Amino acid sequence: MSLRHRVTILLRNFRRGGGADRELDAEIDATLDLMADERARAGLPPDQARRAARLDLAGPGGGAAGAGAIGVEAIKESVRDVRPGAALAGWLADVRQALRGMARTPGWTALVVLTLGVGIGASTAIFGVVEATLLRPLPYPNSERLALIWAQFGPESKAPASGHQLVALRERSTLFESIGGIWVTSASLTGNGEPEQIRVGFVTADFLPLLVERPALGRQFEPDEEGPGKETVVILSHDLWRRRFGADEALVGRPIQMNGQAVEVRGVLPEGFRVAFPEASRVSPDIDAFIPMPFDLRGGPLDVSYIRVLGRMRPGTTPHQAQAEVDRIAAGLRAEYKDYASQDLQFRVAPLHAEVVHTARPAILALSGGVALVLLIACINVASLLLARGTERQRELTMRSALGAAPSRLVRLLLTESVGLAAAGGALALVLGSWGLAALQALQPEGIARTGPAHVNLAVFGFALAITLAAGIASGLAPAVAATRGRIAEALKRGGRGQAGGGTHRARNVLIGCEVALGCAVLASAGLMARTLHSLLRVDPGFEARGVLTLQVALPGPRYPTDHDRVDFARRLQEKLAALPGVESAGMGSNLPLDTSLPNWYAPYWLEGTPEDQRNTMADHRSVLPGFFRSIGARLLEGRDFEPVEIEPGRLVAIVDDALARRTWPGRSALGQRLALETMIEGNFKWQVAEVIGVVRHVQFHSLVDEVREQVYIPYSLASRQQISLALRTSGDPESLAAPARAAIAALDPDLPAARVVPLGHYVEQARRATRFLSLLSASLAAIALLLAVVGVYGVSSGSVTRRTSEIGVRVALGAKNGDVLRLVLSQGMKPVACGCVAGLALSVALAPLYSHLLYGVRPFDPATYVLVAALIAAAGLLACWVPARRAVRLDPLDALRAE
Amino acid sequence: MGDAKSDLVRGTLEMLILKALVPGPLHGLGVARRIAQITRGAFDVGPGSLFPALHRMESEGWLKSSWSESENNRRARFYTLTKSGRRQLEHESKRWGRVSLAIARALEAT
Repeated sequence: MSLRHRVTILLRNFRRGGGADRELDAEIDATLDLMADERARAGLPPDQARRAARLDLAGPGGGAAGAGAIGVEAIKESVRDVRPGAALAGWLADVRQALRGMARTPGWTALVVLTLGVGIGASTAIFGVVEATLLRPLPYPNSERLALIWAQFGPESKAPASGHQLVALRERSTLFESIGGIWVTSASLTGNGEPEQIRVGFVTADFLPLLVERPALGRQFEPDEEGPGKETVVILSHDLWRRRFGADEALVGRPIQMNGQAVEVRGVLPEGFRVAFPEASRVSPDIDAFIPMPFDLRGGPLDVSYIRVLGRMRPGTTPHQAQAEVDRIAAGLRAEYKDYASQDLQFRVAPLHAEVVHTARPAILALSGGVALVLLIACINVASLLLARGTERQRELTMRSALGAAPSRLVRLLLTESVGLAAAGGALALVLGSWGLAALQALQPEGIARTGPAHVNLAVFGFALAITLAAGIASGLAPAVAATRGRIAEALKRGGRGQAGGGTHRARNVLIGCEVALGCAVLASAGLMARTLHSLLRVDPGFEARGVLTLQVALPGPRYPTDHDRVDFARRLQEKLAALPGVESAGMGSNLPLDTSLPNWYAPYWLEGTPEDQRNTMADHRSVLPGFFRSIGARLLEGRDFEPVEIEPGRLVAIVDDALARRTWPGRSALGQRLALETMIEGNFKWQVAEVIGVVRHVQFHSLVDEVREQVYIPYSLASRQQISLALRTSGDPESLAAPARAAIAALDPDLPAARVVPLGHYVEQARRATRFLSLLSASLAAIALLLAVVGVYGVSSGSVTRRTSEIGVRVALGAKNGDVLRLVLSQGMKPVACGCVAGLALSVALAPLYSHLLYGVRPFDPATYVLVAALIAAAGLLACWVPARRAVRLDPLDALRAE
Repeated sequence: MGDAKSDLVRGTLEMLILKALVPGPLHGLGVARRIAQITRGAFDVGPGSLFPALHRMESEGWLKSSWSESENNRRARFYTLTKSGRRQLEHESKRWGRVSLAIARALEAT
């Protein structure tokens, strides 16, 4: 048969809706007439003739009363089945049927669609985050072969490497096809417009080619472009190029003013290019410009570690093999150099993607688990709603079955319904999910901030589609099977009274119990996260952020070449800022607490006279001017702050934190003790012995809770770093000091930009962001779970009241009091809630260890949290049962009995 | 096996319908009556199998149908054999010949 012919018939079958059906009706009618004519000719009266014809048409076995109509329908059905496109037509009929069903009960439909929409939408949003962080490869060429090489020495496990180590790795490795390094600092841009501080990455020549095939404009650095004197070219980020230089394509090859010197623009990176390094590397994703590493790597000091090393493994090399190779290289270096042996230098290879998401991963997985529970709750709710409806529709289904619909056909109809509902829910979910994802994106969880933007792409859409189908089938299958398994005759008998079978009701109770249990687990995790956030809000970070404005300044080397230049400028700036109206005190330090955007400065130190092989202590170093502690609200526990006179060159004094003092001089005073410290005089590292004059409470520089390293503070003159930070304490609004502070800097040096002028509280907020994000999200999930559970409990309880209307009527008629009825309904409704609650608490306790590493300041088995969760669930359950219970109490016994 | 059996029955019914339509167009009931007549009452085709078969054969392109007046002025749907239907009848008859011969031999072979 030709395709054209097939298509013609197919079209005829579908054209004008039921055109083919009408024609079939006419044909069967005509046949009936013809048969009746035959009978009439044989002598039967017309009405009897027609009846006989109907019976005839039904064929053998169709003799029962009323079977004629069934026979005709069966014939029509079997004709429809052989038509081309019958399967499609049958399915379309099911869809129409399902739509009609939904339209008949809009409230019920809305509830189901909303439940699924919320469940699937939440899953979709979280999956968007999972996709963007854990699943999507990093946007670099052969990104799966990129790996970081951490240096390890002493207690430091994720340390940078020295230039010498980088060169050694590069020369001795055979399994890495390319190894590059980066060091991030800041620089000032001057010329065309306001001076601006930008973030600069000093990179070895082979670093950028690891991450980007070619710049959007211009060229990469040449292979020999690294080392002293090579810092005369720059590759700009797309963002800086557009923002600062108006996307001028002619900029390539022309000079711009950086740190007061002219550098030639070599190229512009592609839009959206980011350096996705883990937080521990202190390499920010957003770097404005890249400049060739201006240091003598090979000839530099062995142990001045500052370079973050990235390599691309050769194809087929496993991280394991690469690790074995760098182990051999480290062993070789330890054998050749005494310094490396004494610090026990090691290297560790860590695949880049896994390392970048390392910190965010547990939280994201925990969230995925939570949202999976919520989705499960939504599905259970829908299954329960479908079951309830299946009960109401028992009669319809039974009738269909009696009229000859095959069980498979009924299952198909019911599944079509639930998948159709899920599809509507899925469509709603896509809307809710993309909103949710946008909101999550705005909250900028750490993982997303580093890997890339999360949005609804094909993968996320596919996921939503898949779970929509799965949810549709999962929630529809059980009710479909339950609805078709029932024996027809029994159902018909019972169906006339529109009552649910006890089995269905039991099934719904079990479902509700499960739902409450899952809700309990979600609620408990949210409770623990809230307690964690609460603990974080109360943690003592060692400083007082309220009322402090901070800003950062980078003193360009060429214009502030000597220690004296920098110390003098810092001092004058501090004085000028302290004199601003409203400023109580102004402090200056090399770093700010909780500001993780700059490379950390840490170095070895030891007690004077420690033998060489025991010098393995490491501390964060900060150089400050007098007043720094007072300005950030740090507390001196012992001794005193630096005196202004101690900023003079040659004064060797130090302040240490209580952690260092406790460990080094347990039970003794730290004051007057002498420490060997690494200072930096005119750009050269120098070991000097300083006297401890004070002990300060440990200041949280890295995170709110982890005490990462002990701390040593020295006068700014002993290490006049180019990057300085200022803190202004005021009793008023710190933001109001921003403009006068900028003006004060401009008055001292109009070409010096102030960067990141933000309250100190900003950094505290940032440090809490991950936890805030988690607790906000888990609270939202918990709210959804609770709401869904309430809807579920209400549905079952309300259904139960409807089912038992007559029974309640009898009870009331026999003298039951309002209280009795109330008690009856509440106890019935609360039974699954109570069971679910107990199971849920057990489930919560079982699940808690899975996310206990995300908690702080609260035990995973915190009894108060669990009691609260149980109380909340019980209250919500009572509320959900109360409404139907009130309805039962208000029943008029006569009406109730009539309902029989 | 079940498929082969139903194929055989289906094939037989289709062959009979095609055969019944060789002399000229008939409506559904007419086809049933003609089959009863040409098989001397051996086959009484009920509407439950007749109509699906007619519609299926029309989709296959062996028949075409049109509405016209019946003998006693009733409108009815008349089926006509198409060229492809004649070919199919020829094909089916040959096959039937082979099959019936084979069955006859099988029965004799005991």
